[in-house]
Amino acid sequence: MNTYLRFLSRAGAFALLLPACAAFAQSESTALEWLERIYSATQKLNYTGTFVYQHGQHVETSHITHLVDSSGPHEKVETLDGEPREVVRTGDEVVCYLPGSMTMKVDKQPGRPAFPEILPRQLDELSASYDVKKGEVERVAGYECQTVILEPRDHMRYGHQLWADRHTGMLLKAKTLDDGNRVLEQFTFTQLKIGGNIASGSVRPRWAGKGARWRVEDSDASRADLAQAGWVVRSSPPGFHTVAELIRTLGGTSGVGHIVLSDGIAAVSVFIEPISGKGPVQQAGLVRQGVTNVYMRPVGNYRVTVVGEAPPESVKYIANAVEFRK
Amino acid sequence: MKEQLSALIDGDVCDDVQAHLTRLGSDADFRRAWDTYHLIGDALRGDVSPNLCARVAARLRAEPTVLAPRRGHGALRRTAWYSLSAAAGVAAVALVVWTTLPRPNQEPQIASRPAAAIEAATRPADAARAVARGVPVDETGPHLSAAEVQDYLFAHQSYSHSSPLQGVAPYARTVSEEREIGKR
Repeated sequence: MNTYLRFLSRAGAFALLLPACAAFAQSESTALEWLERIYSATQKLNYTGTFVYQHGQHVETSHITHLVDSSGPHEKVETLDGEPREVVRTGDEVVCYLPGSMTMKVDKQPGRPAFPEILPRQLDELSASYDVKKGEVERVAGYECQTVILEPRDHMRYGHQLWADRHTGMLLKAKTLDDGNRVLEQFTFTQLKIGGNIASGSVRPRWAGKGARWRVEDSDASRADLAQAGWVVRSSPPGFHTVAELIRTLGGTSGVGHIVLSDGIAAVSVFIEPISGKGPVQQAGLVRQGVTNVYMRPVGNYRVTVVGEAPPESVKYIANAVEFRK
Repeated sequence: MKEQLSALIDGDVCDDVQAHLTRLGSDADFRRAWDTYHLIGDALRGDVSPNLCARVAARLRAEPTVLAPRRGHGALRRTAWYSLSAAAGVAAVALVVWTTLPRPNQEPQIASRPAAAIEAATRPADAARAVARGVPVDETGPHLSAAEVQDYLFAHQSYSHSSPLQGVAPYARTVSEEREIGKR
């Protein structure tokens, strides 16, 4: 009898708790909503700070300033260690300044939206490729951060762990992990100022490609229909879709096809270029780096190079699926 | 001097063996080279203790070694394809170039490149680990120069915009890579 009563009172307490739990869950953002917040915050907020980038035993400190004004987004990333180097993004144009070789690499990004939105559909697709979970609340660079864990559902992508400011959603720290849960690379802000007054001068390039001695390498990128030209990616790993198709100049070779695939987190580029002028036909091969893998194979008189922050299996899969049909 | 020393180790010097041995006693550089060549020999024969191999490998990983088969001179040194991973600014630890064996015309010269020889001796172990992890190892690797990799990465990263890391991560990688390339 006693046991039965105890059971009843427990069941009753549980029933009372249920709606409370539901209400609690509703007031808290889900892991996917957190991803959306992070995405939007890194795009739309004004911020300036110092972060440490680590891969393997290599550690490097850089400074980033991101500013959105009436003319759109501006961003400058510069290294603080060693020789200064900068990447400045203004709207849909990215310029990389290499003062050492007096080179300016210019890349226009036709069709790149100023604020790419993550659509609910994309979030659904993302959760088909990753198990997205919320983790602990931890402090990074003085900010209380919500951790979000993205566990890949297969071996075709890496895992991620993200730390986002609980108030603004700004990304404070990010880790990329391999299938053995080893950290491949990590970004951590050591100091960050969100909002407030940020001088517009702080997103201007230091070098400005001054003088005729600077060499300008322009990508001359334009949108293209590569399928029309005969180039197709026959199939891609689950969750990967084509997000951009272009014709560009790459390393002095014009008319290079460029297809970008993404699973919502990881991006993989396919470059298709004529072999002439690039030396003899290359044999297929993979170059593996911390997070980025490069796989190259000849296809007829072309060289197909696949570059991406994805495991070797994934990059090879995509490279082997590139075909010329005509 | 190196040719002579190499010949001495191989037992190919008959004339002034005594002079060389005397020099070993007095010339520190000569002695260091003697030690290195013997270490290379031991490493190639697999006579080095596992511990030493690990330490050497760790040192090599800590300072990415340019063990490039030279295909040119001067400015062309940057086209060293063995070094491209390091040049591309990537984790020394994760630096595994799936290029297995050098081609016949690009054999590392053991006498003048001890580090290359040691790396060659330790590479099969890396390959074995890679196989254990299920990553296929290719017979040959792409001949990519550091500058070419830099071009690909920059072109790729400016489009990897679908990630929530965008705005922070991709260009940070680019900046970092440029810097590493600039060092070479």
